[in-house]
Parts: sequence; structure tokens; C-alpha cells
Amino acid sequence: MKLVTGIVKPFKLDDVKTALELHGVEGLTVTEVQGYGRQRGHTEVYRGAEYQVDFVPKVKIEVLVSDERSTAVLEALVEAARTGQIGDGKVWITDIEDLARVRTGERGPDAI
Amino acid sequence: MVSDPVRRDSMPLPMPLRPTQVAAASGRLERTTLLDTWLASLLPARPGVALVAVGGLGRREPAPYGDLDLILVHDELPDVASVAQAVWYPIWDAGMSLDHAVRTVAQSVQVAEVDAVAALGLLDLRRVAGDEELAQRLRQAVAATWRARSRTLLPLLRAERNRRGQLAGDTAYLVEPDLKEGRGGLRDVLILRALADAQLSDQPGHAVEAAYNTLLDVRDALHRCSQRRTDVLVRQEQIPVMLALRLESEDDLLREVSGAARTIAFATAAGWRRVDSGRTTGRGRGWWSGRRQPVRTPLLEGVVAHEGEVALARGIDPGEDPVLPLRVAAAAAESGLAISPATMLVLVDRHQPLSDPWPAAARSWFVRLLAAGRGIVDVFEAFDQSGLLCEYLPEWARIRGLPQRHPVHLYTVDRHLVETAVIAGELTRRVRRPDLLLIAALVHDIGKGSERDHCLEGVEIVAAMTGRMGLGASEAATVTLMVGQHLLLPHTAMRRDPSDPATIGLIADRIEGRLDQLHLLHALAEADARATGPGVWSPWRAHVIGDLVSHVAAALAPDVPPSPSLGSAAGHRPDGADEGNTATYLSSQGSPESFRQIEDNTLRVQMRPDVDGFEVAVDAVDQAGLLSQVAGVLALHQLEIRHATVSSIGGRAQDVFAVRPLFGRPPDASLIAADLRSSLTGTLPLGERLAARERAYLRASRPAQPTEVIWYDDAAAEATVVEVRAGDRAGLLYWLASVFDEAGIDVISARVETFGSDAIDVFYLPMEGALTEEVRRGLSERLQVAADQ
Repeated sequence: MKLVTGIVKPFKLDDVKTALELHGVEGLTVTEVQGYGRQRGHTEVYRGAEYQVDFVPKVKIEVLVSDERSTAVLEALVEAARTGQIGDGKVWITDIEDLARVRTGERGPDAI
Repeated sequence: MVSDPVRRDSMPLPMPLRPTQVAAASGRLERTTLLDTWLASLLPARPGVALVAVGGLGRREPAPYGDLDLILVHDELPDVASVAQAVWYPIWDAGMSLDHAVRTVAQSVQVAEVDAVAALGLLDLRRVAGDEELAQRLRQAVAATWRARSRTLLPLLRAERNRRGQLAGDTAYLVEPDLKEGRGGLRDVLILRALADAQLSDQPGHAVEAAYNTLLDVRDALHRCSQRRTDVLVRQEQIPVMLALRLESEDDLLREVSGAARTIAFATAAGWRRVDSGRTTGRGRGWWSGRRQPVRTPLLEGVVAHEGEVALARGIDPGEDPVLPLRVAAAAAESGLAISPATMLVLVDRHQPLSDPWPAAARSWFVRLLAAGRGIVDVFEAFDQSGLLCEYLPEWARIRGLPQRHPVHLYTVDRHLVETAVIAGELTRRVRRPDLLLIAALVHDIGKGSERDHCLEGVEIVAAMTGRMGLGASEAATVTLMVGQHLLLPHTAMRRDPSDPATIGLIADRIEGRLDQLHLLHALAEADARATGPGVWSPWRAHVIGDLVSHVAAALAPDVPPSPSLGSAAGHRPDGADEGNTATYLSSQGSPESFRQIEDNTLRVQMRPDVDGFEVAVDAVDQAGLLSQVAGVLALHQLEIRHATVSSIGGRAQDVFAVRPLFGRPPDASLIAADLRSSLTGTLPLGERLAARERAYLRASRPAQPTEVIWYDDAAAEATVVEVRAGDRAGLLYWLASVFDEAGIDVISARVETFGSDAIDVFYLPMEGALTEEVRRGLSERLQVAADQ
């Protein structure tokens, strides 16, 4: 089992959701997050005042998948989240040691 | 007491009663009989001991899975412990939740003397079994204690009630209401009855008792459906409860709860006010305590504060002034006082309906009401209860008590709208038209409750509302646009790339390329989200939406303030639809007598009535400081400036002010002219006099927003323009204009507008000279100080 985690631009969430659904992903977790990557934030001008944005708002998407589907899901996520602009985000995969579904007590891949 | 766990073998074991049997009993009386019979069988037949029920069973309304609140009252019985065990153990064995005590009458009275909550419970006591005379003695002792000690107990009870109410929230407006502890819940009715028992107010009326029964029915159904003791009507239980009560939908269920809770909350607030006024005047404490002369503090024209409530001034007849109810509402909201029930009754009985469209005065008082901050919540509730709200805004009936199903929503639609207006009142400095922001905030979800998209539905409904309110065509169009597009920014920010020219183009297109409408929508989006529930307007979301707004703003033409021009101040007011009204009014008044004027070589002051007060025209030889002096003299005469245009032509200043007397009639124009002459010659210390008056000036305590000072270089061909957005108050224009006087800067022209409690004053300053960045910064600071002092 793998956990696919993506940090993407907020407005890409709908596209990502649609793409993941097409790949048979049934559930995902979304968190509002802020941070910065290589661009180190940016400067914005609003109502005449210039201000430095240290942290850029992003959404974090987490999906639990089986080992064999993890690469396809990562690729789908990358494809859906890409704008080609700076700050498009990152996607990574981590191993999951064990998993349980709280309601039924199912364990392992059955709980995905 | 310490209980002895050993049961006496000699006592016969009564038949156990299971909680499920109690729950299965169809009605409250049936449950009472079942429990009474069983409990009576538990009490050994002994003189000098009685089993009394308090709480739900005491009131013959035990909830299906409710607690049993029982007291074993005894006459100093030496072996009372064994009697108690004979009663308590079977109850515990049956798996029922038991709240128990063993006391003598004297001990009970001691508890009631210091514990307000326990005293409240004891007021409901009822003998279930045992010594009748003893139970009767306890009842009388408790009632006497309550009456005698209510003065010390009530503040304790109230504090405890407020604490619990704060935790549980408003039963009427929550999507998951607490039927018992919420404000407007069952507990409040018990307190109302207790206030009546202490002879501090009347017994709750029929409407309150009916509302109480409604909440009891829902609570009973909730217990049965959830098969446990709970008072919070959570979402997952709403469908089963709705079915159990044979209602058609969950919305009907929540509307029933909301209606009942509103009735109770309103009566409770009135009950506490009776207690407060009784305490301050001695009323309700016996005729001998004497009556002090009631103090009436004027709030607004025809409206006073009296004994902690808002009331009508003496001799004011609502039948003669259709706008009076809205002025009462504004006064109540600004002062944070409740409208007295007697005043509300008089207003309902005798008020004149508003014309269609509303007169300008109705609109301006309505906006002032909306701008008053947190105080409007109670005012809307009072107007809703009295039926006036739906008379003024018939469309309100669509969303009254309408629940919202989305989990982020905390409140019913009507309360959400009022909350949005409250929060919009904190954001008015960000926009040039606070009035339109406030109105749109109040109606943005008016389209909810139908199958259609509520934004589309809202656009149609709002067209009728703005027409009735008498907004001008462009104002109505902006409000309609805001209602139709109130989700545009949040939705787009979450779905489209804010830096994409296509996204910017889409937004710009929807807002007709107008920066002022972008700022209005942005403020509405924030107010809407913050009024929805905690955490909805997270810093994260604010950032995402702000990012979109800044991208669009950068692409739009700058938003410059409208320029002043000559003529009637009324003619320049934002709601230009009044121009027609003005003409009709003046022609009906028609005669030259309606003009009072004085004239000499240097100064001429004219005054005449206009649609919402009076118009004062000042024609004088232009001179430095004239604007501040005129503004100061008007403020000194308690004339509130609603709009003004100030210009200079051929060496003569021509200033037109639309004013409204704070109280009563305006002074004669000759008095204004005389004072103006004195102040121009330096014999009238305007600043001192105004400062003294301001100290005595009673005004809304709303959350302070910082004053905004905005400079525009390209707004006019031959002038630098500075716009000041500040909280309105008497003398504001005097203090602002004085800043320019002191800096030796001549104001070429000015335009002043007030919207609710905000003033937006625009000054045109000469371009030549030294308005450097540094000078501007200094002026901005001094303008802010002048506005906020």
C-alpha cells in the first residue's frame, strides 16, 4: 500500500479530483496548507500597497492506493495539476506499513 | 450521606421497571403515571418521609430517556439511610440515571438559599409518594425562600444561564440546535416561570407555553429515535425525528424548532428586562420602596432611552411619521438597548405603512440601522416577532427560520443574513458605497429555499426589493449584481488560475469592469464567509481570494471618486431617484415662504425642506477656512450633514448641504448666518464649543474601523483629490476641513456623503504647490487623527 501526497495550486483541486476519480480513486483527503518552494514566496501589490508574501496557499491531497496503482495515480495527479508556471507543487509516494478501516475493522489492502 | 449497600431483607422487591418500558410509553402523562406508580411502590410506608420528584418528572413531563431527579424528604428520621436505599437501589438496578438527595425541609431550604440552580429545580417539586403534609411544607418553604431570596439568587441564576446559553448557542438559529440549554430552549421557560413565581414578571403567556410544548415534543421524539438521553438535535437524527412527528421535511422540523425557540428567547429577554427595570425603579418590590423620577435620554428624534429600554418620546404619534419605526430600530441598534415591549406594541398598532417606493428618509434610517453593528441582531428579532420585518421586507418570509443543510453553516438563512450585515458593517471602509454593501449583505441569500440556483433566484427577488426601497437605477443594478455574483470570487478563486488573463477577463466582465464593484464583492465575500461559521474565512481562504482580487484590480481602470458639481445637494445624492421626489415635494410646498433667508453683501444663507430633512445653501465671498467654519456652525446647531457639495465660482463659494436636525426643528437660517459671521470674524470659538458638545454626544458603540485616507492623482484635471473614509459623527467635516486650514491648503471643492454610520468625504486640493509625498503623509496622519479623535 502507498500514500500518494500532492501539494498543488488551490484552483487545480477540481481538475485533480476529476482525474483521480477517472483512475478509480474513491476517497481522498484535502487540507488547506501554506508554504513555499524554490520561488520563496513572491511580492504582491494590492490597493497601492506592496507586500511580501512569504507563504503561498496550496492544497495538500492525500490518497491511499494499492502498490500497483500508485505510479498511475501519481502521474494522473501530476498531469492534472500542471499549469507549467512556477509554484505548481510536488507529488510524492510513501510506503504504508498497515491500514485499518475504523468502521469495519478491515485491515491491509481491503481497507483502501 | 454515606449509603449502606446492604438491602434490608424484610423489604419486598418491587417489580423492576426498565428504561425501555418508560421510553415506550406513548405520552408524557403516561410516562409520569408509569414512573409515579413504580416509584411509589419503592417507598416503604412510613410516617415523616416523602418521595418528591423535581425536574421533568416533577413537572409531569419526563423525557423518554431522561434523568430521574428525586429527593427523599424526611422529618429528622433516624433510619432514613435504609429508606433511601430501598428507593435508590431498584432505580440503579433498573439502569436508570438518577439524581438523588436525602434532606429535611430545613436542609432543602438551606440549599435553595445559596444554590440558584437547585432552587430553580425545587420550584417544580411534586410529591410522588409518602407524607403529604411534609411535601406540602417543603413546597411552601421553597416558594417562600425563592421569593425572599430572589434578589441574591437571580444574578447567580442569570450568570449560570448565560454561561450555558453561550456554550449551547441560539436554539432558533443553529442547524443542530440544543433544545434544552440553548438560548430560547426549554430551560429558559423554566426561568420565566421562576421569575413569575418570584413575582417579578407575569406568568409566561400562551404562545410561550405552546412553544415549550413544541420543544418538548421534539425532545421526546429525539430521545426515542436516538434511544438515549440527548438534547441536541443532530443532523443524523433529524429525518427519524421528522418522521416520528409526522412532519413533511427536515426543514419543517427545524422551522418548528426555530419558531418555538424564537418565541421563548424573545419572551425571556423581555422577562429579564422587567426584572432589571424593577430593580432600578423599585417597581415589583412593593409600593413602599418609592418611585424615582424616570430619566429619559434622547437618542434620536422622537426616540428616548428610558429605564434601560428604547421608547418613544412624550407626545410622539407613530401615526404621523411612517419612518418612526425605522428610527426606533436604528436608535435601539446603535445604543444596544432593547425596544420596550410597550413601544413595540404602539408601533405595531399605530404605525403608518411605508409608501412604495420608500421615502428617502426610510432608506437612510434603514441603512443606518444596518450599519449599527451587533445591536441589529436583537432589533431584527424584535421586528420579526412583531411582524413589522415581513411588512417592510415581505420577501423575508421566504427565508425566515430556513435551515441550511451544508455542514459549514452554523445558522438558519435569516440569521445568517443578519450576521452577514453585522460583519459587513466592519468592512465598510473598504468600499465607496457602504450602503450598498450593507443592503446586499442583508439580502444576498434571499433566493435560498427554492429548487433553483439561489443566486439566480435572488436576482429576481432583489429587483423587487430594491424597487420598493427606492434605490436609484444604478444603485439597484449594483445590489442586484452583488446578489447574483456573491459566489463569483470564492468559486473562481478555487477553480481558476488567478494569473490567467482569461480568469481576470471573466471576473472583469462579470463586474462590468468596475473596481468599485470588485471591492464591494470582495467585502461581501468576506462578510458572507465570516458569518457562515467559524473557520470558513481562514487566512488561507482570505489569501486565495485576495490573490484573485489583486490580479483583477491591477487590470482595471482606477476607481476615482465622483466629482462635486454645482447645484442642489439632494440632486447629487447617490440615490438619484429622489430628484423626482424633491421636485414634487417642493412644488407641493411651492411658496416662497418655505425659504427662509438672510442676505447681505458678503454672506447669504438659505434653508428649505428637502425629502429627508433640510437643504442649507451658503453663498459667500470665498475665503480660506470657509468650509470648516460652515461645517462647524451646522454641527453646533445639531444639524447632521448627510450630503454636501462645495464649490467656488468667480470668487464666490457656493456650498450646498443636505442636513437633518438631530432633534426637533432646525434653527432659523438667520441664526446660522449670525454664528457663521461670528466664527469668520473669530469671535465664536467653534473648536472649543464643538469639542464640548461631542463629549456629550451619545453615539453608537460599534467596532472601530481605521479611517482610510486615499490620494488620487489622476481623478481630476487640475486638482489633487483626497478621499477620507471615516466613521460619521457630529462635526466630522469641521475637523477634517480644519486640517487643510491649518496646513494653509485651500480646498477648491468637496463632496461629502454619509451612508449609515460612515462618511465618505472627498476634497479637491490645488495641484500647484508642494503636495509632496511627505506633505501627503503628514496630512493623512492629521486627517486620521481628526477623524478618530
